[in-house]
Amino acid sequence: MTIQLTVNGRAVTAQSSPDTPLLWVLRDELHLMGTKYGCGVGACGACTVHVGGEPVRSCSVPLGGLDGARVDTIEGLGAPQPHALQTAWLEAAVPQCGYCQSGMLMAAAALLKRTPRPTDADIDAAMTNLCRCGSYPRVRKAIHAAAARLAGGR
Amino acid sequence: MAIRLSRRGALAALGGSALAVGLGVDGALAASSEVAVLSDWVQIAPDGQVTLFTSVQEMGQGAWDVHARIIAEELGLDWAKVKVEQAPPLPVYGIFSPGYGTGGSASVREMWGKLRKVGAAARTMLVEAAAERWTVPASQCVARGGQVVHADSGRTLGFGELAPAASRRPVPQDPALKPRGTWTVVGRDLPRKDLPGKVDGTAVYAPDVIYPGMLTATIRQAPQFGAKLASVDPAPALAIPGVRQVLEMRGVSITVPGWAQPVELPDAVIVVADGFWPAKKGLEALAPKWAEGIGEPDTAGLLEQLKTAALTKAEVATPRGTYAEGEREALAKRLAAATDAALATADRTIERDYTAPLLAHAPMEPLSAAARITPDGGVEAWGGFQNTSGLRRSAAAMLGVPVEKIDAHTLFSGGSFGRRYKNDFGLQAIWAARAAGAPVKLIWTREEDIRQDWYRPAGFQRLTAGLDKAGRVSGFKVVGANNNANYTRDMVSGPPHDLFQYDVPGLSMAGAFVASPIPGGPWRSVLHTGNAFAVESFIDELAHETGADPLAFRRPLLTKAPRAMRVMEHVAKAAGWGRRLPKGQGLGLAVWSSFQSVCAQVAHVKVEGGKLRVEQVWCAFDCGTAVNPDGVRAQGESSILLALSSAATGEINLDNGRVVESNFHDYPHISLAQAPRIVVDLLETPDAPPGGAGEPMTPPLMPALGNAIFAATGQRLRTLPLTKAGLTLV
Repeated sequence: MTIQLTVNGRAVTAQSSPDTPLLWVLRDELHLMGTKYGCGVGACGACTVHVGGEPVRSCSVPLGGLDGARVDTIEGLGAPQPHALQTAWLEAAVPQCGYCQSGMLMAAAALLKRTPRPTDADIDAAMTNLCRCGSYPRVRKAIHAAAARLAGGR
Repeated sequence: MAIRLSRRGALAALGGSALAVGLGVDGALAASSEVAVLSDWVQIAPDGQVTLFTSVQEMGQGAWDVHARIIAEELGLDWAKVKVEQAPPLPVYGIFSPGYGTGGSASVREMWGKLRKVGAAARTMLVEAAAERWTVPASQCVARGGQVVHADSGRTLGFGELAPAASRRPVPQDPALKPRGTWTVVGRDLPRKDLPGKVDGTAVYAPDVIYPGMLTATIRQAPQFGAKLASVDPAPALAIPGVRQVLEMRGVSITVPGWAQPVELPDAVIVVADGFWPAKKGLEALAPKWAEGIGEPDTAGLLEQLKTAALTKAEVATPRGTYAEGEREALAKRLAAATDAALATADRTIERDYTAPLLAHAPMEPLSAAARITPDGGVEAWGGFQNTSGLRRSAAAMLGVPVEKIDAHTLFSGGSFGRRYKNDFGLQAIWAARAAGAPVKLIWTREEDIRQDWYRPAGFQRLTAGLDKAGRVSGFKVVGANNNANYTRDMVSGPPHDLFQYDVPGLSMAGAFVASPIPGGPWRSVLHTGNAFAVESFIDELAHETGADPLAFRRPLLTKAPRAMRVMEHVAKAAGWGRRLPKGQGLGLAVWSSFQSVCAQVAHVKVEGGKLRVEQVWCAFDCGTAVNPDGVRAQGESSILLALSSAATGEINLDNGRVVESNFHDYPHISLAQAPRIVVDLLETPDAPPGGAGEPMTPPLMPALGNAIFAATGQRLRTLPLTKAGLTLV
């Protein structure tokens, strides 16, 4: 059984078994290594990608239910030019070890699509990705900065 | 220690050898005769591109490029144009000794002087090469922005053009260093070189390594520490499509020449497959039988062991040094006697017991490494190794080959906090590659990562202090024990950066080491985590016992520690110490010296009906000189949040010698919503040698938090996590 996906705008035929989580299809079959494994149980968000424009934890989404799905990963976020979040992330020096940041950025991108000028409470509610390195204060700051820039500010 | 600065050394020596690492599979550097090598750290291409090498393993501490910053400063480079690369794993790059490893918050403090000289030597060689070309005095030439400029005539020559001639010049052993007042790189918030790849998914961690024919493996080690693998039926795993092999790892004990103890790897089953998913399914399909012991420690049992050891076997610690026969024992007796006398004559004594749970490291990247066996029987390995030279030596011994045949790429890691200093995961990947007959990428599951950690040891400490009529401390005694460590002792016997900061009359500390099957290892700030919680909470208790303000109480104890005093006063002022707060809110103070740095923190908490909110944490930190100030501030945020998370919910429990917890559902981590506002102020002491930055902002947080909770509620915490005290972080 094969599953047709559009990954970062490119048509792809996935051949992994249908029970394979999307995370491992992306990494082991498509060699898109930007999306990370942190826990495998949907608790940490390191594996966050967009499916049909919505943020999902790809470690917990089996391939079998994704025929025809549009998938966007960190590799597509900065194409053709860096997302305002990525620029803001560098300006605020958000990453420490960086391992959680692909998922963090994808979650933040989904938040900004839904809520272009999020409040701190919006950020609290949406950004549940785990970061053991403590980048949270800078994540918050960079989301505000990117939101302002996208809104035509600074 | 005299440091011989060498021009050639590691980089130029690589050409054609089997050890072509970090520079391309074919030894690109050596092969390209155009690149000039000025030293093991400095390479300059004909177009003037300067590449600086670092041996720092980047695990999120932000130190990967600090060596390059120090060198770039002396070379007068434009930071934006500098390229940084990981140095090959050769002993010349060793940070605290010949070797290759990262830890101890040592990356700047151990290399500061040496790297300034490396940069200055390279600058001198380039300037002299230009001066010779122009036949002018070198004193009339300056290096600036990648060029040498002759002030009088305005002539310039680029580093690219000068480098070949410069590289042939003698290396000055004591070159002049750039004065602090002229610095343009060190002390500036310049962008980290490792960050761009961390926002676009291109940064490579061990699980991302791809190699032709590489299989993926995952592992289950004996769940009960020390148990043996009795048997495993591989059929259920092999029946799963994509599973290639089931490997049985038994009795691996590696004797490494020169090492006091053999390296022992737990018995384990390893499933090798086409990808992680089939490997994990294969692992879960197996039902290995383990030969286990009975009556192995549970949580309470381990604590009992520690308490008994502390109270019956602790030995009074003496400072490091050489003693004449019998002198150390005599000193220990005198210290103990002085403490007993002080306590006996005190107006009153206060005695309290403090305990600390096992903590997991739980870095976001579960332990992983990749390896292949090379045609000549050597190894090429990849991983976020904190101790690459240790890996090479132990792998060489495991395979029975010379260490030169072990090639290891030191990658970025997804966090570590000390865990990756142990090379079990790297050795397992190498072992599996050999057993499987194919390159193997080994990725531990999160469950395995939590259950097979090298835990922050559990601890028991009894602190006793005497107070005179004026409420001053006279007599201060600590007895303590930890599993697989002697943290109490190290406050007296340890290296200078571990020593107890307070000046108290009648001080003695006694520690006991409890050997335990539960693995204990370094966890961000090591001994200081438990020691600071106990001591700084106890000092707070003494202050409250005497009706003294905790800030005022500490002042007489820090008269010999002016830098600690200064950060304490600074943070107290920043936090508005002494202001009245509404009921249920409180401020707590803690100050701690470690890794040659000093740190003071104040936490502001709000407690209501068992719910604890940390509103803000102020941190004042002095590491002497901050090479990348923003990076240091980020480490403050990082240390505080890791410590807070661990204080809130962190505990690893044992049941018959097995760890109970397994993932983030039962070993939770703080969320962004729970994070307080954090303010980190950096204070400098320019005349002091630089101190560490990655760890020393960790110890004060837990006691500052506990002290704040006491101020807010009158409830005194003598153990963690907070959940034990009925407090939930919100």
